[in-house]
Parts: sequence; C-alpha cells; structure tokens
Amino acid sequence: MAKSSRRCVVALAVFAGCWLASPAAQELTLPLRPDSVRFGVIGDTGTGATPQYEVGLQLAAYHEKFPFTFVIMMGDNLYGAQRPQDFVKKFEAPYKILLDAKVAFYAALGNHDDPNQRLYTPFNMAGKRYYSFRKGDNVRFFVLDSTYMDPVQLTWLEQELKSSGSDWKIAYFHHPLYSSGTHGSQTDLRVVLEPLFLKYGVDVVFSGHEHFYQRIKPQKGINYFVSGAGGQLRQGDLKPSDLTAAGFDSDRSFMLVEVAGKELSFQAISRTGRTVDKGTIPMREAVSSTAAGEPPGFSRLRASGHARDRAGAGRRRGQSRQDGSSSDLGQQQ
Amino acid sequence: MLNTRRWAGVIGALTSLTWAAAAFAQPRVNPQAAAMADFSKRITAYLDLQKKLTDDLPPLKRTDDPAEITLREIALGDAIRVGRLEAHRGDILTREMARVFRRVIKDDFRRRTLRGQKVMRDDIPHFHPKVNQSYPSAWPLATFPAPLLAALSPLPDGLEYRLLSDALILRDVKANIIVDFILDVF
Repeated sequence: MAKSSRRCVVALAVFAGCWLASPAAQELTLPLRPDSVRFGVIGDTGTGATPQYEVGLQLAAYHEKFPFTFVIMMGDNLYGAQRPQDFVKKFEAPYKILLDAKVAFYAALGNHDDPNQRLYTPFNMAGKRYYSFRKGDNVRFFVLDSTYMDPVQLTWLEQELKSSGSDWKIAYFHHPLYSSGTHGSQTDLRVVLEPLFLKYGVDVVFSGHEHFYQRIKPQKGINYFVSGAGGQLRQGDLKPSDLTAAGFDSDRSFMLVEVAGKELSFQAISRTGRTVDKGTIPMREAVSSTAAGEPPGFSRLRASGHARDRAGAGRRRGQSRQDGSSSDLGQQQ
Repeated sequence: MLNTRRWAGVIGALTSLTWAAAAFAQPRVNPQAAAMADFSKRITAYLDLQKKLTDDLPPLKRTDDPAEITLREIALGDAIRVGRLEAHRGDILTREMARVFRRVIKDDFRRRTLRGQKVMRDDIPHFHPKVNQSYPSAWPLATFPAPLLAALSPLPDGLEYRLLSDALILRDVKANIIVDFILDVF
C-alpha cells in the first residue's frame, strides 16, 4: 500500500475513533513512584473494529496521567487477513497516539497471528517467536510463543530464567495456564511451564486468549492475570470458579502496571475508563522446584483488588484480598 | 525304530539351530527408526531445495513496512510452489512415517479427558489441506499441545507441525505453505 494511502487510512481511523470514544473519567490508583517501570497490558486486540479503537484512545488518555513507556501485547494482534493494510487498520491506527508518543509495543504471538509478525519492527520481537527483554534496573520480561511450545523453546526459557538473577520475572504469552472461561486452563502448557516458573521464581504471568479480564487467585505463589479483551469480548463468559480472584467480562478492558522496588501495582480499566480491579503484589522469592508445599512467597502475597470475588469463595491464606466490589461482575451471571 | 526317532530328533534340533543362526546373522532393522531416518533425510532435502529456490529473493529481514513482509512471504511461497510442482501428499510424511505419527497422536488424544480433548480441538481449523497450499489467514494456527510436540520428531527451524480437524500438516513458516500432511490423525 502506498505510504500516502496508509497515512489517509490512519488519519480516518483515528478520527473515527476519537468521535466514537466516550470522554474519559479516569481514576488513577497507581502510586506513580519515581523511577518505576510502567507499562500497559492489552490482549486479543487486532479486530480493527470500533471497540479496539476506543480501548486505544482510553489507553492513550491514561498515558497522559500515567506516562508508561511501553505496552505488552498478549497475542492475537491481527485477526483474519494479515495484509499490509491490516497492520494499519488493526494496529497502527488504533494506537497511533501512543506510537507517535514513542510508546513501544512488545508483542507475543497468538493463535490468530502469522509467526512472520516477528519481523514487523513495531512489535519489537527482535525477529523471534519468543524473546526476553529488560526494563529499568530489575524487571525482566519473558515473551513466549504458547501456540508452539516445543522443547527448543523450553530449553531457551530455562536458560533465560536461570541467567536472570534476582530481577522481577514477568512472563507473558497468549494461552492462560489458569482461566475460568470457555477455553479454560491450558493444562498441557501448565505441565511444562509451571515447573520452570516455580523453579526460577517467576512473579507474575499475563495471558490473553479468553476475551475478558480475570485475576486468578495466586497459584503456588504465582500471580496470574488474563487480559484478553483489548479488542474482542466474550460477554458473560467468565464462569464462577475457585480460581477467580476478580473478573470483568461485560466490556473491553486493558491493564496498567507499575513496578517499583519490591512491589508491583496493577489497575484493570474498562473501555469507558472505569477501574474494575486494582491491587499490589510483592515480589516473590525464587523457590526450588523440589520444595514441596507452599513456596516461601505464598504466604506473604497481598493483592488488594477492588473487584468482587466472582467465585464467591472465601479468603484463603496467602490469596488475594478483595476489598471492594464491581457491579459488572454480577451482571453477567 | 528307536534309532530312527533319535535321528529325526537330532535332525530337527539341528534344523532349528540353523534357522535361529540365520535369523541372528541378518541385520536387525527397527522399522520406526528407519522411517524416522528417512523422514529426516526428506526434511533436509526440502530445506536444501528451499534454500536453492530462495537464494535469488531478497533476504527476509525486520522492517516497519508490513508490505515487505507480505511480499517476501508470497514470493517465497511462489518460488517453492514452482520448485515443487510435482509434489504430492506423502513425499515427506511417507506412509511409514504417517503410521508412526498417527499412533502417537491417537494415543495422546485417547489419554485425555473429555474436557482435555475439547480444549485440544477447540481452535482447530476445519479445512481440507493441499500440498503447496498457502495456509489460509482466515483460520487460526491451532495451538500444538506441548507434550504431543515433544513426542514427535523434532523439526529444524522454519518448519512446524500444526493440527487441523483431522490432519497433521507440515508447514513452512517463512513461506506460509503446507508442505505435506497426514489425514485421519484423531
């Protein structure tokens, strides 16, 4: 596509997005500490439809208050056709404001993505299906291709985790190891990934695939989030389960995250700018895979989410504390 | 009469020993290992052909222009299609290899719970594959179960297995082409 035509498509798309998006009524709950690592989380975005643009605008509006420097993408970056114009319609246009502000996007591959997306420089994948990168002094990200978890990738992951020292370790990939949606927990993946996460002290895991937001009660000390409603939405798909610490499935959503010292704060936000969950997680200490029972970090986890525990389960030792409520959680039941 | 019986017994024993010795003298061939070695050779031959065909194309590099990625993928696919005009199903995933893979996949599938089977087949596309066909972008690339992947023969970089509703395909990642496939895998 000619560059002038692409510019035209981008301009039209942004105009349409601005017109359609509702005015933001944002409440920022993140601490905004100096020298913190700040980023956005979006998943299952690449529809090219109006709600994706609205989420993009909301993310950009929050960027004014919470100047994050990068966004991590949970995969399904482009649904359907992946022609040059689709990269514009389904990525460049919805996030134009952020891209213009030099916000970097780090993509993972989903099952709807052509692996050759790894060559598209705005996705910052370094030409690889899976890769790692570091931000700030002590945060390392491990980006995996969960659609094709072959032994080579697992070996690579183990080496990367082993050499990452005492950094915050954040893994993200498309398919959730724990989820209460239609697709459910990906146990095949869990069998091969969870032992490595436990052995090398991964703190937090983000995924998509399920088209809603869900915070999972810590599993063996690891905090899991599903953020797969950046463009797609499966309304009412979040079924009550013992896994659910908080959830939101009545509209599109995204997350903002801030890592400062030994604490990670998160805020989940709807397409209309409303906060649907928030909390803080302390860094987890590395535990040996041979250790039985609860890892050391398990008992000192404290997430103070504001969304109601949809599963209705009571609090358990070491699991997230929910202080507030969100009406959205009850509406879909 | 007794002597005759004795001699018959001795002759019978000698005959059995001779047959046994002959059987030991023959080289023992594991049919599965042979099929895998042959598969490996065919994969190498495919990659050699791919390299030869693509030497004239501009290199596949990182770019901020998605048109470059798309055009390179299409050009590579076209070159491979031309170079493999006579390619048929079974050229790489031979009948022997198909038997091995079918058994592995069916065993894996049977071991799963009903829920596990559902999850596995959740996003599996339902189209009938053809050799040299571009993988249709309208269909997702079904997630390949990690334990099953570990049980199949490893592939070199640039080739991958994927599952369809009733097929295992061998896919060229850079060219987005179906190189070969096996039917009736579930």
